[in-house]
Amino acid sequence: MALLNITLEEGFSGEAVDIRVDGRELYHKPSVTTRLQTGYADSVETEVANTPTRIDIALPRKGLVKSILVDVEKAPYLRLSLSETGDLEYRSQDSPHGYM
Amino acid sequence: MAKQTSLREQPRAAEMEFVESFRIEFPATRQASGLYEHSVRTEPSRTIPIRPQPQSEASGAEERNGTASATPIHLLFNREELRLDVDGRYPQMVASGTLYRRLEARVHWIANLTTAHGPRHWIGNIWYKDGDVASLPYTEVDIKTAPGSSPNTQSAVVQFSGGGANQRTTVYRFRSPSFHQVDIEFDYAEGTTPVVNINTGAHPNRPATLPVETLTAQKVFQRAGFTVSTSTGSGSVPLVGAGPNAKWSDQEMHDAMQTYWSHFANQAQWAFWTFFASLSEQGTSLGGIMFDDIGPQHRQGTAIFEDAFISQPPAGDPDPVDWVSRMRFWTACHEMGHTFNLAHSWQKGLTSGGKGPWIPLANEPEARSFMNYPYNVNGGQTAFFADFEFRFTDSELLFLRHAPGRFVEMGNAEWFDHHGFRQAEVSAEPPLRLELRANRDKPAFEFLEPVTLELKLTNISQQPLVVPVNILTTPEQMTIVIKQEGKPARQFAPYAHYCRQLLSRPLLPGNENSMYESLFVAAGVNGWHLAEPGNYIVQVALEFNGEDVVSNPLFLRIAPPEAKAEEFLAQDFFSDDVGRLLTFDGSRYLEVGNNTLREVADRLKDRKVAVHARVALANSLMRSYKQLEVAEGIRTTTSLAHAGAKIVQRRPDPKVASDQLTTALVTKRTTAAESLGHIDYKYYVDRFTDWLAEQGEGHNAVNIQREATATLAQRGVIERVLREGKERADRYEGKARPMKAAG
Repeated sequence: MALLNITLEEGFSGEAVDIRVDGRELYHKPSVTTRLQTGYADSVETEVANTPTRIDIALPRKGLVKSILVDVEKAPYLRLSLSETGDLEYRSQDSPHGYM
Repeated sequence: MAKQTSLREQPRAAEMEFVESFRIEFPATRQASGLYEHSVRTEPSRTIPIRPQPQSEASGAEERNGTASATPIHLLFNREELRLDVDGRYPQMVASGTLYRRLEARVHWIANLTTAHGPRHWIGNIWYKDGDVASLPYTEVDIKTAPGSSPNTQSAVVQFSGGGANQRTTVYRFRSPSFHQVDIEFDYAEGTTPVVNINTGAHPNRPATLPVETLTAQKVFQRAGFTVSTSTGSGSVPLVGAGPNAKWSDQEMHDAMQTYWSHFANQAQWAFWTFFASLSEQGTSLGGIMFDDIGPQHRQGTAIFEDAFISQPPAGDPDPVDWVSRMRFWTACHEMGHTFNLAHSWQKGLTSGGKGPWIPLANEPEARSFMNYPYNVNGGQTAFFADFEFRFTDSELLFLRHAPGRFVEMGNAEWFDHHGFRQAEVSAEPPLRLELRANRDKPAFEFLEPVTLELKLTNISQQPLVVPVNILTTPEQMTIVIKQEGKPARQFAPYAHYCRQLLSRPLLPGNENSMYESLFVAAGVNGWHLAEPGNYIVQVALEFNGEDVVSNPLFLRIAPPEAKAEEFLAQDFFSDDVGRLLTFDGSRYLEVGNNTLREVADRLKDRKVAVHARVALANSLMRSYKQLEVAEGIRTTTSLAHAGAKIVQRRPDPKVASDQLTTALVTKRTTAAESLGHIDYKYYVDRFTDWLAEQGEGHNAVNIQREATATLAQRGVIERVLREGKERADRYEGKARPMKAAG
């Protein structure tokens, strides 16, 4: 088992966000908003058994769906942002990200 | 744990340090950069014709406006600021200025500069304007400074030109080597050691050219253009404020700020609170936060969490202890930067929720700034600190030094909303006191009742003052702001401005010599400001000798309608016609409005609005009334005479006028005195009784005048008003007596 941390960062402004991990619903919030002074919106953690792990992110009101394969053993920290052009961008890394 | 005593610098010492922080040129010359100010003692506002002026050196008259020919421009400003940014630390080659003309009108400009011919001479184009831009049409500036024999005599001459306007020259006096002042207070949670200074040479990963020094947080902001004072705060904040988990939520920090910050106030001010604690509720992933986006005033408080990830050095760092010190110091400056409204470097161009950059900006994801995340740049934090010079970027310095102050100042909000008089030029020892009040026990008004208030102006100095006779009735000298709860403030604009001869009168010290005037603020050219039921604040500022005399804020309430008839009549009553009829005491022309007033007087006879309606209806019937009549169907014509227009004399209707005024002013005299206000009540009674005396109803006039005077006496009106009423009644009686004797 490995710990997976998913953080929602920039660009969220009241969007509904659904996250599934290997088909299992992990996260559902009807409204996610980034605090501009930190660039942080929300985060969620879970333990996963498989690697790579499939993560499905949906922003239903925007019609956005993205699927990502994450190597949780190497880079368990997944950072998700909504770009100004409306795309979901992600980056995974091996250490937690800090906000200020 | 004691707070570091070095934090407790006095403002003067801080300013001296700011001066000393500039690199000295050789041969030494006085720095030209800084804040300059020009202030004038104004007469009442007027339009000034200007003519071009020849170039001149930085000396002589304070302001040189010509008087002949040329385009008239409305530009008499009380105070002007110039921020010249051409030398010293991080010069931006920018000049900016703010011109204040009373409270409601100000204009801000920014120009990029290049060096011109001759020493201490710069020219440039104005590329940014904000505020009352029509009052500053210029597009170019030409700036010369003269060093003077001391900083106090240093001056700058600015010639504004271009934009189709005639040239304007203003001389500014040097005020400060910094562009703004700010006060910082450092407090810390029990058990935390704040880090607010650093040895820049301690960590080996740094720019080779970085001066090795002890750098304080205050010095960082001094170099950004501020005179920084540090308040002695509460010091240690008990951990109990963070609740049982000892981690701080935004709300807990906001509460602590309100409790422990010695400068806390619900208003914008150049001051903020910096709080050092262990951890936030978000845990170790939050190194710090400008937590204050709660309530109406934002950006007043910021926090640094010293046990968050910023205390965890990267593996293999050559000097982990100094890495942590630097990161904590960096985080403190970063969070303090947010209180100045600085966004993260990668968010510079971002617009979110309708909020965006003050000017179009590009994101700066690679910036070596306090506002970037060190580990976000290419090469990570190692690359960042290898090039980091402990400073803000030029675009950030432009914002901090030259953006309109309200964008930067902590706790500020939209212009005129929440703190309409924030910009008042209030004297530290004002010679005058302005009181705003309603002539009733509680400032509560019935629905539909037109709000009439009273102004009282008192000389509270020790000396007689010369004031304009019409100081309380000249809209150009007065700013009236009305704010309904939950809505933006609005400025009251009266229906009429009068061109009056400028006469003055002495105002002696003391309450007994106060000047009084009524203030009808219900309706103006912008509509009915005080109509909807709800709570309101009204405040008045009066311009006197270039400073603002600000009244108390008057909190008043308008009650909901009591009957369907009020709701039904409201849509017709809150009209422009009725507003004008009430303001100008009636008209025979605005017949639609008159019909509404008749309906109000008839259907709402027991409500206070009926008094106002009857007075307005009666006034136009007391005497013959001249009215311009134009034949129906005429739409366009070269002249009214050509259209057959003529002035006709409409006959008075003394019977109806007398009945209406008797009902309004005599039968309900207490109600009338309260609702019309004492001043207007006396005015209408005097006019009524004078008219009655003219009509040969002297006895009636005597009785009404005496009853009205008694009513005012019961309401505590000052003696000189009562004496005047008595003397007026005596005069009527003196005229009436011989007639009686003759009879």
